[in-house]
Amino acid sequence: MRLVFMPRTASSRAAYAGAVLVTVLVSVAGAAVPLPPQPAGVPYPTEAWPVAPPGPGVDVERLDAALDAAFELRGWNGLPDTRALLVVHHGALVAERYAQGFGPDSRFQSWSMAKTVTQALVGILVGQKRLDLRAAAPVPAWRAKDDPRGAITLDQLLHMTSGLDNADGSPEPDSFASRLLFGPGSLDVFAYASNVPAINAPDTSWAYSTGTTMIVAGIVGRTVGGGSAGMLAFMHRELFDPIGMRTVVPEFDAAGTFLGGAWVWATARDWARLGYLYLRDGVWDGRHVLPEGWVGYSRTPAPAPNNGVYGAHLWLNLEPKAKQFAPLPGGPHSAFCLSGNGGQMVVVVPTRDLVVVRLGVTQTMTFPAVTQAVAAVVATVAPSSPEE
Amino acid sequence: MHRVWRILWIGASIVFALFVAWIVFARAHWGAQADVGAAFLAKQVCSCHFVGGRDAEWCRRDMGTDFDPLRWEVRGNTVHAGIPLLASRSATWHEGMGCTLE
Repeated sequence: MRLVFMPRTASSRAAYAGAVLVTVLVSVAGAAVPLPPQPAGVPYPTEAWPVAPPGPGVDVERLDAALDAAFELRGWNGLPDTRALLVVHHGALVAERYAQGFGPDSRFQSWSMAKTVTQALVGILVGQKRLDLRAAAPVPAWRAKDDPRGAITLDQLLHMTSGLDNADGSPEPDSFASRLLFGPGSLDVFAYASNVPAINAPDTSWAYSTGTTMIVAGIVGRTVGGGSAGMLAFMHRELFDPIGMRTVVPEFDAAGTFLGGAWVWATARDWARLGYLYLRDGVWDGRHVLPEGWVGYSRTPAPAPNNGVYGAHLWLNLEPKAKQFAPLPGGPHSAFCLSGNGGQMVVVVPTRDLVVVRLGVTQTMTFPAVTQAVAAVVATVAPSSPEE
Repeated sequence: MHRVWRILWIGASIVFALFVAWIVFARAHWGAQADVGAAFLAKQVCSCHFVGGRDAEWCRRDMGTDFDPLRWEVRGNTVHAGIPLLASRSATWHEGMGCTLE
């Protein structure tokens, strides 16, 4: 990546160089694991998911126990915290369970899983040569002469290393995220999120920022044109329709910006389709829905220390350091996932040709408990690749 | 008699002034928080109900007890939520595009 700024002090330069080296090593270790091809004779789930019993390589008894455990804890409506859990193995739906009152037609909110939908749209525009990852991000508020934000690239926004002062903060009402989504920013998330100063040089720090994703969503919308109607048509035509996501409803703010940081609704089977697209390297039934190399790029770690291992709007399961969380504790390093508030997860495990979807809430379960429950499901499936 | 009315008038004015002062104080200290809470309730109930297809009362219960001080109602395609004199927000559903905060 292009370095526009360099840290000023010798000690911070050394730390920065160390972070870059670790990033390169980690990305070689994990992101190099190839993605498995579509199994011969198995249709893509555009019209419907092929359904099959768990095959060889799945410990059925342990899988049933893991599903039972995932649906154990109950919350405020008397329901389990886990409302849907699906397992796709070798291209077929091998397990599907819902809490009472939910089913295959139930839509579930993405929360931050929407961030990966947003990055998929960026990928499509990059493939169409309408956006450039390494060019200055086209944000009108940053165009003034000598504005340091004018050098921030789309790549840095996707890796959340822009250095902008718009980190989410706590879930409290006075946090940036709360003010953005529900307070003064809620009527125009793009303007609110981009009208913040840069407090660090790009690529020197990482901060989880829903506001950053709203900026990216705004860039996508303005590139596509036609306001919210134009954006909606683009999303369906280029991403949702080709992969059979028929139930998806993206939401918009009053200014017409796609709320790509938090609000997309779809059924569990449709969320599984999105994960499946990434498992198949962006290819769907012979067509590149995401451009060649996009999923590989998405799996490159952010070049600054962060609280997990973060790619380009995608969580990675590379070896976590102290105080970092792993989306799939004890699970394969090849895995990566979409993740959202309340324990929304779409986990993709290339070395097991596996997608696991968990949707629901965390009223009684903690988020670590959710990741462990999903990891327990993944553990029932044997590796199918020598790369693991 | 005239004096009694005058005392009542002064008393009522003081009470009214204290009430207005309390509203100003409450809005200054809790207004932003109440606004965020009202917006959260309106948006989440709207999306859960109109997009998620679930009963609005169920959607509200699924948010827990933190929002109990807020009033809310569904009128047509809009969910209104708030605390009287302190905060009021709404979210409206549009076909195919979900709920938009206003």
